Amino acid sequence: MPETSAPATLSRWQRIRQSDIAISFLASPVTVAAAVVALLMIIASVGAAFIAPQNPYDMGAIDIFDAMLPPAWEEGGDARFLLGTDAIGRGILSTILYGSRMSIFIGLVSVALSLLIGVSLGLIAGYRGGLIDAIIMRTAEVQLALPTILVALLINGILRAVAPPSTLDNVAILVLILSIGLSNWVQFARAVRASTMVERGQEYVLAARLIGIGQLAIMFRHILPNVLGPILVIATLNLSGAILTEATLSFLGVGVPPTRPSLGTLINDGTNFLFSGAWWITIFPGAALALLVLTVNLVGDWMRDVLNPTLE
Amino acid sequence: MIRYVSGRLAQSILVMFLVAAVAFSLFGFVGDPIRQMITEDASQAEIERLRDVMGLNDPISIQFWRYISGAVQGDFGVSYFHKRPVGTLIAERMPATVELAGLSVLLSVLIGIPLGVYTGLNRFGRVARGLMAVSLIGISIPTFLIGIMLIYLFSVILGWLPSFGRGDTVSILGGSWSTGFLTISGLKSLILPSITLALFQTTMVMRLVRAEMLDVMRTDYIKFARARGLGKRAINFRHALKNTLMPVVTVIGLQLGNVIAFAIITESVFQWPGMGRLFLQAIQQVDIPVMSAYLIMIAFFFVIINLITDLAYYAIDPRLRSNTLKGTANA
Repeated sequence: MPETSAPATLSRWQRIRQSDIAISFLASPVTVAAAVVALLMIIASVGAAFIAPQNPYDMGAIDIFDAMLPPAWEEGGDARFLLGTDAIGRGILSTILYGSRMSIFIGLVSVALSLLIGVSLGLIAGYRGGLIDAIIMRTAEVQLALPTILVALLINGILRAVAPPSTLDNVAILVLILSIGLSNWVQFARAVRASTMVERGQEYVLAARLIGIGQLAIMFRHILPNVLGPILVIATLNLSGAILTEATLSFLGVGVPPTRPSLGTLINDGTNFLFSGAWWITIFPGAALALLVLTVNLVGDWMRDVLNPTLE
Repeated sequence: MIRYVSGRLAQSILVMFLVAAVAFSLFGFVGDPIRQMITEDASQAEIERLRDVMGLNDPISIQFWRYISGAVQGDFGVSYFHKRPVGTLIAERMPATVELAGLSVLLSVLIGIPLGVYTGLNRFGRVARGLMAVSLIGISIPTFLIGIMLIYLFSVILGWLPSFGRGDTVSILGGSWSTGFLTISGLKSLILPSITLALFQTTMVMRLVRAEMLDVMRTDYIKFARARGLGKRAINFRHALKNTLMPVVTVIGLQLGNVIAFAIITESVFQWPGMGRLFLQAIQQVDIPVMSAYLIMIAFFFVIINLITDLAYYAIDPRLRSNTLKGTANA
């Protein structure tokens, strides 16, 4: 982290407060607010089991007589269910908390997968060059020309065709992670490849080669730490995209199984009741999703502007 | 020139061949298609006869050749789920998707470009900054959610517009094309889906035009035009806007792919009887012939668009002519 040359007398906290990044962060109230909201949402969803007023997947805790209650402040609302209930009596607030846990989990894991694939392929393409580079980057170009959601749908369809129908529910989450992860690796690969090609000519790489260190060790132990700079920014920007893709796939009915819903599944469930006037079943999960994506986007945009203005 | 064009063409054909191979290999994953077509009590001889009729006993290479030569003529086999030829299914669904997508692209261009010019010229204006903030929110709200909110507002609360289907359609061109543009209910049905689909594209076009405008306004020839004392209008529209349009047109071309992808979502929200819903059903039902056909058609569409873009670049940008085959268009 770049720091200003602070006098040695400052405590660690003061040094952090005076770093360029912190100053730029605190100077942008929108970013601070977005980061706080995103963090709160992530914490609330991770702790869903402790925070949620009820466990929506415990059949004993839900009561069908509580079904379709409007939000607490509307006429006929119930104080136990702040945001109302759905068609089988689950509190919307609780389903949103559990649903965002699923959405964030799938988002994080699939970004991690894209990162793993993209960084490895980018390193190999940048370091080896030649035919391997051409094949990897050509594939990347083709994939970049196709919209993520389409690639994810196609991969999802292919994986569904490959997996035996009887196991579909069990592997649905894995299929989802794979299809989102495999459709997002290109940006990582391009960024890492570009900086690897610069690093390849550096003296420390030459020295490493001279004392006989293997190619893989050079790539992953010596070059890798020096090309990770832009990765954090790309990962953050991709996280909101991955959450969106997951929600879309689940909304389209090819995502998570109905027994373990994400925000997209909840929104899809709710649309069936829109015409009976029960807007809260759809709109609240939708608002949660939009808020989550928007805040992560804002933080990612800020990071790009501050850390890597050239990335776009 | 000939070398460049033929090189590009060869690449496109190679890509199509690879996609066809992937699409064909899908058939191998679902096991024996016969098992889904016969009844429980079919005899072994009947099964064998069906296998022969369908050509499943031939070598893979011959089956692949038959698949490709069929696909070139629009014959993609019979859908497992609908039990009808895939080519017919797609031909039936295509008008709905093309009309929806075409109207959306038109809307996004007609709204996006003026907004982009305005926000680019009045960078620090209150309205322009408000528009930029709204566009960021527009990008963050998923397409399907926008569709749902529009349905709730205009169909459920206000009751002005239909929330699903195409309304009444009219057959034209000798019955091969059904259009929703000629009836009142057809037009009313188009409004919500096309706005839903156009919204994301509009924000994209607007942000792109704005960025290009900002770039162009910084260039020397604009400064020079100002120094010569040209009027604001002439500078903004005759000099600046003209030069921003080239990249914008290219990106809109490449964005057509996005329109197709988002059409799947929009069609699902509004139960629009188009190709996207057909494909989505195929994924849910693991209906391989439809999936493969869609895959090939999408790839064909993209290859054609990319080919046109590359050739257009070649025609416009003289630098590519000395550096054959290096200039690839990046989206």
